[in-house]
Amino acid sequence: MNKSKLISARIVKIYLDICLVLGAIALPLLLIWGLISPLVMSEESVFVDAMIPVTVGKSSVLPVLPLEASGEDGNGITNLNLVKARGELRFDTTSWWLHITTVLPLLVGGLLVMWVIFLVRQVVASVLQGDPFTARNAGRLRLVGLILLIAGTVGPLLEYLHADMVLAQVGSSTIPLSPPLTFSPEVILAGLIMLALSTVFGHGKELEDDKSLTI
Amino acid sequence: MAIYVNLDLMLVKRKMSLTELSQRIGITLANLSILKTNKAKAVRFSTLDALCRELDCQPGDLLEYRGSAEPAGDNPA
Repeated sequence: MNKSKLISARIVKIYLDICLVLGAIALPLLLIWGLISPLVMSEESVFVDAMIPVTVGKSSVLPVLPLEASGEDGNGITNLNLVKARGELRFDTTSWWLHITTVLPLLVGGLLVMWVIFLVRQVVASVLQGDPFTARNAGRLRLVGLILLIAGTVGPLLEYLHADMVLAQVGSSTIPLSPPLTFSPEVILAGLIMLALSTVFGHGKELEDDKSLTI
Repeated sequence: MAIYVNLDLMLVKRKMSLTELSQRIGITLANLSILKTNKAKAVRFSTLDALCRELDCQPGDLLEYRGSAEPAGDNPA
């Protein structure tokens, strides 16, 4: 490997190391704040900053909210609709269980991100050692691909179910709110690319074996 | 694989050790061991040339096809 590629691989590894260290600091803090703090707080205490993603409108997939215009008639603009508006519903709650269900997805998501970063870091480290085409790396990339695919497909479904459950407890609000059902194609695409890359690494390993066993 | 390298046989015939051959042709002992134990997947012409030169033999003396051998499962292509 030439020097510039080696330097860029080192920079990527340092960047991933920093992400891992930050994650290792942030996740325990999140765990303490999310899971343990409600246990030590009194029942009258209000747990703040619980939030769920919502869409504005009655549909989860294509939410539409009809709006009333205050402008003069006849200016050529009619039928106002707020489409695909998405945001976060923040609320205070004394329910420990509700608090946990809002913190848990963050914790699980954070752990998955850490896991993916760790696996990619291992791959980059093996590149720096000059031996990237191994069965282990192919397995790591396959795992990263599967994590991304699951996160991109199952994640939004869980998010929908959770938001639906919380909104059912909230009841009616001044504007209609719906649980969002938005899949992230970029995450699914990244997962598919990683799976394809893992097969490339598997083939690379076979070529490497051929090369090392050619005398 | 049904191709066998009869390196040990040639070494006995020439009364030469694997270490000595390794030093003469400039191929590591580990690589010659791979060749001798039939674990190699391919042999370079340059290696074959060096082996034939030092062992004073033909490629056919070193390589043998045993059709009845168990297939290794590798695609020959």
